[in-house]
Amino acid sequence: MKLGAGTSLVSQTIAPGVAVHVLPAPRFKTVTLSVFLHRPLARETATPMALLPSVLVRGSRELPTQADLTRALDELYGADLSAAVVKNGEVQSAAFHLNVVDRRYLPDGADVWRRAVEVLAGVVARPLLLDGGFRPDYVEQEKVNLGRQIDAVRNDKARYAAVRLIEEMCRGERFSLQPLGRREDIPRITPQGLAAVHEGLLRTAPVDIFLVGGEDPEDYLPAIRESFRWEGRSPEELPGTETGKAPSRPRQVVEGEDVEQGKLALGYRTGVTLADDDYAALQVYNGTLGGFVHSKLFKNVREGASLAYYAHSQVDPLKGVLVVSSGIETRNFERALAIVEEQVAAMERGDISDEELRQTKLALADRLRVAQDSPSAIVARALGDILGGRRRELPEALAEIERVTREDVVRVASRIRLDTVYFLTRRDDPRLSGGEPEDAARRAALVREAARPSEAGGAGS
Amino acid sequence: MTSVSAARKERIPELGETVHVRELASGTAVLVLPKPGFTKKYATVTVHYGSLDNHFRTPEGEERRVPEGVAHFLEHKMFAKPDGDVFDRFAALGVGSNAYTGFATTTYLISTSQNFEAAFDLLIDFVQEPYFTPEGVEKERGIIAEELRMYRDSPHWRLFQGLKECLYHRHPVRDDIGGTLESLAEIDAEVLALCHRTFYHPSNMAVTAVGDLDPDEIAQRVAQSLARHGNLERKGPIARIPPEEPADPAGPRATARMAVARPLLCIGYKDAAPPATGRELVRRELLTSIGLEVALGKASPLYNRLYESGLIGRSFGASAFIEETFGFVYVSAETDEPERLERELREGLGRFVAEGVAPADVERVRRRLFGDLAGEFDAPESLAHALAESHFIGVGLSDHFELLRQVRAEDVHRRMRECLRDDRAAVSVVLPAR
Repeated sequence: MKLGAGTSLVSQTIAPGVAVHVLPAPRFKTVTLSVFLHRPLARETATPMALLPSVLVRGSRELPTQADLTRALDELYGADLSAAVVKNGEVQSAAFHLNVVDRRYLPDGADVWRRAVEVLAGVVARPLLLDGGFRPDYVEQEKVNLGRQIDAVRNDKARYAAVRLIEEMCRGERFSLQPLGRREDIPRITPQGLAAVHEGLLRTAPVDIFLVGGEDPEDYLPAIRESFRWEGRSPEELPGTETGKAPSRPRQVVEGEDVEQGKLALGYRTGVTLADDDYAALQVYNGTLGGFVHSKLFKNVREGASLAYYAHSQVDPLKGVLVVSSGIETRNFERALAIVEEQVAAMERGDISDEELRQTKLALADRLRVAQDSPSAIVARALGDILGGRRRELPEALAEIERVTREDVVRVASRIRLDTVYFLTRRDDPRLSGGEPEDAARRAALVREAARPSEAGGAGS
Repeated sequence: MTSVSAARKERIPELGETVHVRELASGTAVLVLPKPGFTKKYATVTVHYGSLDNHFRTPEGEERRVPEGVAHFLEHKMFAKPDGDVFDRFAALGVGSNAYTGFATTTYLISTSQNFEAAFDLLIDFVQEPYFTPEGVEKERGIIAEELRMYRDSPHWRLFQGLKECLYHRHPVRDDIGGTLESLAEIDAEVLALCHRTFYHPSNMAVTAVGDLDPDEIAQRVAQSLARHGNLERKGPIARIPPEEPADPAGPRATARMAVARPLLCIGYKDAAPPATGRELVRRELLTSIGLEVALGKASPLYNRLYESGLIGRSFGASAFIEETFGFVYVSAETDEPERLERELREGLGRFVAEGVAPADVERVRRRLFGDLAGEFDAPESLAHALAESHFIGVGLSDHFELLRQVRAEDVHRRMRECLRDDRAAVSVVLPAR
């Protein structure tokens, strides 16, 4: 059977807590190398962790400025090097990606790989230090930039609504922290303190390195083994992600903002993560509810009631939180909410046609298979599996989806609880001032003006 | 059995790739790029019709001006059929489908690892089958209105829209692709049918397919679908009536206030070059990209000075739209000091244009662009898009590689002088609401 061929990553340990996962893939013109250094997502470390990649990518000991780095990468036929911070469940990772044209396609067969990996390793592990700290000007500039990035979440209203929902819903849980950290923690970061965080990360962080592309891994692995010098490692354990519980009565948060379109975000606790046997059933649940254009939400909120341009749901595979999102005219809040709740109730009743089930499974299987054509999708899925504590090869993941029955979906549905309803609306929305008494109970707990993200970020304290 | 002629093979020796090109009797181009080893099969029907095409002669010779946003409305409505929504039929096959409208083209696409043949036939069929009812049009209007409202809440959309309205007097590029809430109200079933009849002719379409596919079979399937629909004859060129657009910008500055964390600035330069197509247009695009990367890329002195002074952060970019009937360069950033940044950028670019371009920088950026072009071959979506766009302006993908090799520093410099004239600049800002 051809299906599974060439889809498995082969893993090996090259230093304590440092794993390299390799997938040869000659179908690609480029070779991708991704390096992740993990930390438990925690209040004290989230912000320095968020700052670190952007300071490191300003320059290394060997290539001390952004211009030096860019010139070096340009010469290597436009090698791409990027740094970011990512969140998977309650794990925060500094992430570095390198993408290089495979030597088979370079004009003179030039071997740019080893040089590119050295540049990457320099950025990750050999920073420019002054008096035991990073360059103070780089740190100051990137602190300003991080603050701006945190503020800019507000510019994308759909994303802002999703962020605010999670902050409200997961108050007091580590998951409520954003990958970019908290604005109020930025000022106390010092060049020396950040260098110590970096030092600690190199020594103790669990590290996952992914190599995707090329014909023979032995052409690429030596450069990886030799360019990174992992010394004196004593890796720490990563705690698992807590799934959390919904309150006995759902909470509702309404905020006003200068918007034309309202953003509705509903957070549900499923209690199921990718480590569970029921994960495939949860995916089928989510796919039927709102994962695709044939799903109930798209059909009923957008097409049926013509209420929204988008209406969809997605699941965090490690936290087991399901979020329904929709952009609606603000006066339609109650109608849209009722239609969403009706779809969720239908799922629980098992009101799912054979055709819905069949289409959802087809679409999920398709998504799993086509991810094999994208190096970044291959890496993202493998990383989620590793951090989620359960690795599934492609054929296994496909078979699990195929086996899901309506009863499985209903079993998952019966455990799903609405936790929080969040609505971002116009500033002149009467709902902000309480509304009619008979609606007040339903609107419940929390109604207030939109907080600026800096204050909102501190809501968990 | 419909027969198709032999394909022309366009080779890209640098990457070991071959595009199989055919033109069918009806004028439809079929462009296939086989990707052995890929799981996904990706195909598009691209119609050479976009938001710019608002003023034209109908096939009967009548001059018509239609409301803004018709091409986009039509794209939405093409999915409606007497027996339901085409989305549902794709979903029943487990196939993802979508569509998008640009300035000059409308694209319908499928992307799948299963049931490709049935989905591909459906794709080719459904764009040839218009079905517009007043009730259906009414309902879609509500959905599109929400789409437009969503964009209006996006600061980057407002920034860009403000810039276009400053740069252009009447060229339709100044309108949003989706139109306005007002123009939306003027669109009815009659106008949709008219535009379908005028622009959705096989001679005005290209079919692209990327994946582990047989080019002959693809062409065969397209020919059969066209035959089923009686679309066998070639039509003459479509009579688009070009807008008369002055060379100067319409206004110096647009300002909007909305819910943003800090100000956004965008400077646009209206291209002084005359309309062009074919290799000249591609060459112009390449020279512009290279010039902007040398001037404002992360290795440039100007970028680093602005970055280190804190005037700009990570959200900074320079880009260009270089199309057949219009062109503009734009530089945008989030900044605390929009006025100072505007001054520094305009002066800095002025000096750059005066001083010239170093051959070593051009060589370095040429290498980067080669890497970027090679990387596109790992992304079927952008590849299919590039195939169709290149076809409509009369070039092939190999021309991009060849023209890239020929670029000289003095060409880049001349091009920068042409497209970065300060007297053709306009500015758009979005400021935090008071």
